[in-house]
Amino acid sequence: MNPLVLQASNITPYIDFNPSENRLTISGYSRPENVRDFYIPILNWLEMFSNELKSKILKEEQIHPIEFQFKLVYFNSSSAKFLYDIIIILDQIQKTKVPLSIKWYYDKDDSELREAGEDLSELAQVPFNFVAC
Amino acid sequence: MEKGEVLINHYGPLSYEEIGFLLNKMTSLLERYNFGITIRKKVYSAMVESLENIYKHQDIIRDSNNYQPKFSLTLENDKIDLSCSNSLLKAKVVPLKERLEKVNQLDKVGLKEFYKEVILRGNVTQKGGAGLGIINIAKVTENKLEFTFDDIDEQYTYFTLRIKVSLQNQNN
Repeated sequence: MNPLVLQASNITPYIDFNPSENRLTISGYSRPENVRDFYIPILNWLEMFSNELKSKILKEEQIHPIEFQFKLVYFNSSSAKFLYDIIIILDQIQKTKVPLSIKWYYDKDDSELREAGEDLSELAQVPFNFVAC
Repeated sequence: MEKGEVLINHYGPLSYEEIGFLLNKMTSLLERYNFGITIRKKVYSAMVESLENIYKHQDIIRDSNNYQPKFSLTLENDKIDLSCSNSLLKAKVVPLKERLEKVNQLDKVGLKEFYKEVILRGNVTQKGGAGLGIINIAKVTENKLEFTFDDIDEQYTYFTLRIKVSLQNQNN
């Protein structure tokens, strides 16, 4: 499956989804002018990734542990809706017995960002590992 | 710097680029005056949500240069005030007022629950609005929102939202 890499701008995050490295990262600022246009291709890619993992599980192929990293500095409220959608897809992947962990990075002084991660984790009922930097 | 000083004052059309410019200006001003990350992030969130609300939801009055979008950021002794105004169709006043009154009635836990409820409802409009902006402003600032609707004509009103970010009891 082809990786999905989108360079960051001052309103959109860096997307580095490289299945061969077993690590998917979203980092930076997220307040796209058109939030749907930005996030829908990302959700579509993750759905395809999820389907590919499911077929590997059915074929009993070995899957290395996957780490999904949220390294956001800021996201606006409409991005939050799409981050929730991403987490729901990650939850579906976990439920197919794929070893996938979610890490939420935040500045140790930025309690708002940690709380925003806790809210999303609680809302989706998916546990995160919180990493203070 | 004297207290009660207007740090940013904008009047005129508001593009997405202009929002970015105003955010950069705010960030460098608050950094220069040594406000910590907590205050800067609260102001940043409130500014993004309120300016994006104007950008997405304003109703521009045709053939008129009056009642353009307005934004100001003022540093007071104990708070940072944000004020933002835009023209709006009167037909939108009732649901907006209801939303503002509802968030003002909720405490921190209630706002969190309301925020979750709206995310789970899952609608994002073509303009990119998820209905979360005002809830998020109240949630982040932990202060009541003040608002007015001033008549322009039969069709339009001038909506003003005033947001307060407290400086006391914060690690600023």
